[in-house]
Amino acid sequence: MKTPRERLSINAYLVFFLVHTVQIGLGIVGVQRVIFVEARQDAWIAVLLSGLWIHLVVFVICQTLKQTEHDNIFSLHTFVYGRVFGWMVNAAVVVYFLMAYTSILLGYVEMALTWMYPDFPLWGGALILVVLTVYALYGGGFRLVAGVSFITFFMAIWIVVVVFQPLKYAEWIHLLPIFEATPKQMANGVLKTAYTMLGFEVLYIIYPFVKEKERAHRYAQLGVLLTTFLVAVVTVIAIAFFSPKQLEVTIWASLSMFTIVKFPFIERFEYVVIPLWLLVILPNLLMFMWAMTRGGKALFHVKQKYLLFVFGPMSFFVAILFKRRATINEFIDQVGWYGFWLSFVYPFILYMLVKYKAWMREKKQ
Amino acid sequence: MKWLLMFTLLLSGCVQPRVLERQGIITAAGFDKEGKQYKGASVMLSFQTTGSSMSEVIEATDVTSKGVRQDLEAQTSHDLGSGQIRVAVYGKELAEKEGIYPLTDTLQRDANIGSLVYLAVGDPSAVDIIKSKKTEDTPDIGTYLYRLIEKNAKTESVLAATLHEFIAHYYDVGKDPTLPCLTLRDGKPIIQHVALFKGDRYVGRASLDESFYIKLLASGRNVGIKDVPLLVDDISPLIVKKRGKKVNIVLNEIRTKRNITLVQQKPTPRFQASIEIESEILETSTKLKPITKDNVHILERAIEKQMKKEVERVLHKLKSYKTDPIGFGQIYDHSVRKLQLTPKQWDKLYQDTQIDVDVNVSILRTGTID
Repeated sequence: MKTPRERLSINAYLVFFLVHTVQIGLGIVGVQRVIFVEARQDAWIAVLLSGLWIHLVVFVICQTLKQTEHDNIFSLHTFVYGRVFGWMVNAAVVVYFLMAYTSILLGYVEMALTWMYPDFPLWGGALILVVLTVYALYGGGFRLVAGVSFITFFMAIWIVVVVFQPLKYAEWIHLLPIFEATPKQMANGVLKTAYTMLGFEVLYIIYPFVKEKERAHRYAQLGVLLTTFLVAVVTVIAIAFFSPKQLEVTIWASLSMFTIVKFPFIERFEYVVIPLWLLVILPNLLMFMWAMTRGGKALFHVKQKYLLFVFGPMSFFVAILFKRRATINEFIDQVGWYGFWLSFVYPFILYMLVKYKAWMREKKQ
Repeated sequence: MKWLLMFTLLLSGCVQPRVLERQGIITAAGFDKEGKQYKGASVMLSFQTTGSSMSEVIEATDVTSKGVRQDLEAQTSHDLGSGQIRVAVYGKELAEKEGIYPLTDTLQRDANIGSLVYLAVGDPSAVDIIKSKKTEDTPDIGTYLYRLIEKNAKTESVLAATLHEFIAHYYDVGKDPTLPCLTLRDGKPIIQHVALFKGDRYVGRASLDESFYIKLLASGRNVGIKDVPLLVDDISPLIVKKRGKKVNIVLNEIRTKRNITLVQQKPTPRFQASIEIESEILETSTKLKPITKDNVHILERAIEKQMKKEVERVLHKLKSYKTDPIGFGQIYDHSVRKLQLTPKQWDKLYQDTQIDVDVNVSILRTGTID
């Protein structure tokens, strides 16, 4: 595959926004409970460990891609596994993106319905989001994704300031004693952060589009750093704010914390946050849909634009299969688990395979 | 593409509109149990097209608490909206016999309701308090109760009583919630006591005087004014003319620091609770000699002695009610490694817990006169 044309490429600093905004999404709204169940009051340490791990993974991903500079994950797979087997692995990656996309779609719609519009149908919400993604990508393309993540980052980052308001009710004693979790609990905790931290694997696909490739790595690391920091902060605050058993039953801990926030001009801040959160998940939706069609292009050799009309309806129909909170939850867990192996573990294997293949080819010549 | 967009715009009309004049906004709700019947009342605020608002109390009785809600709905032409509920009052009998958690669960689950709703106990009945017409200058009883509790929780000795805190303490092992206890005086709701809970059950009440210490130890937050009766003998060098046995000093707390640590775990838990109060004198019941640098410590020591005595009495009372609003159990749980304290374990340990109290009072100011 050739390096994309100049017209389509992006500046390296945009990688920071792309990686960060695709990581932050639905997970951060309710991640606290999920990790807390595993690692108890040391949940925030699990987040930091997971962050460290991701820094390493990002390094490995960039090392893998550096070898050829114009390859993405799909062409690498064909190179490593051969045509037939590579096609199947690529299909699996596309299915992963489809699942990730659908889980965000479902999660957000479900949240909006629970908090704001209980009598609005789920399919209606899902349809709006799918149409929005298809419309945006049909007219835009990759550069639009980069632009959207840049703008939405600044439109949403100010919410961080408000997160500190619940500290008025914080009981710091909940964080003690530190380091009580056993290694096994901690490992499970790290595993459970996966869904929230996922997204950095799109580096595999956006890397060829970056103009200054040598600087892409640095910006990707910075994006991951900010994500880890934010997730760790909301986790610490939630542990202090809720009592242990209360946190275990709170689905959207971050949102529930916002019910404390009160301004003289707006009494219920969560009603601002939920619509605003659409801006936070929009880069996720666009990025995953774009990655999906990019994979589809490698699979079927069809223009990306046309694939939008295949994958869009497909995720819509998958989404409307779900009705209950419990099944949606299970689905999101599944995506997290699948994503964990693909993004936290697989990059190391792929790196070694690519190295080995390249070495073999050299030897042959 | 244009058609799709149009369609999306049309879809937004699917959400049910809420017309302000058709809404009955609930600002306060009360629940009671009488025999086997649940009794509920809520204050409904409705807006008229003429511009003024009107508040009305609706009441219902049913055998289940959920049935009460349905009955309430059947009594009004307005759509009852719970998003503006400020205060939920629970009858003492209900809180004592059944516990109020199942009822607070409804508030918590409803995304329309914020976490800053105040909870309170109505003694003897919650419905009577909701039905009270005396609301000072506020338009309805809900707003009045809200402001009453808010003020007293912020600056006086009532412990904060928001839904969030009640639920958090209910779930916390080794910490029990407290709520303000509302009573009617001449038909006007006032806070006379603080209701002590064990889990979600009312077990007893503490006077506001006792509540001063509970709040002090539990949160270290603003506790307001405290009247300390001192023995004349303790401060004899300061007395001008001896009359009676006691002298009352009213202190206004300026800054408080409290620190509770677990000093010994086995065989029985032992805590060291130290309180440092910086205060000013507001009032003395008899005339004292001018308080100067040299004799202020006499007064301080006497106050410390008295406070220590009172704290120990309060702690003893709490133990006899088997309730732990200060959260010694919580401190125990979080100080000991590898321990998942269960409520049952703590119940047992709590009775044998020893608490050493150390009070340190400093008088910073004595008002405009010495």
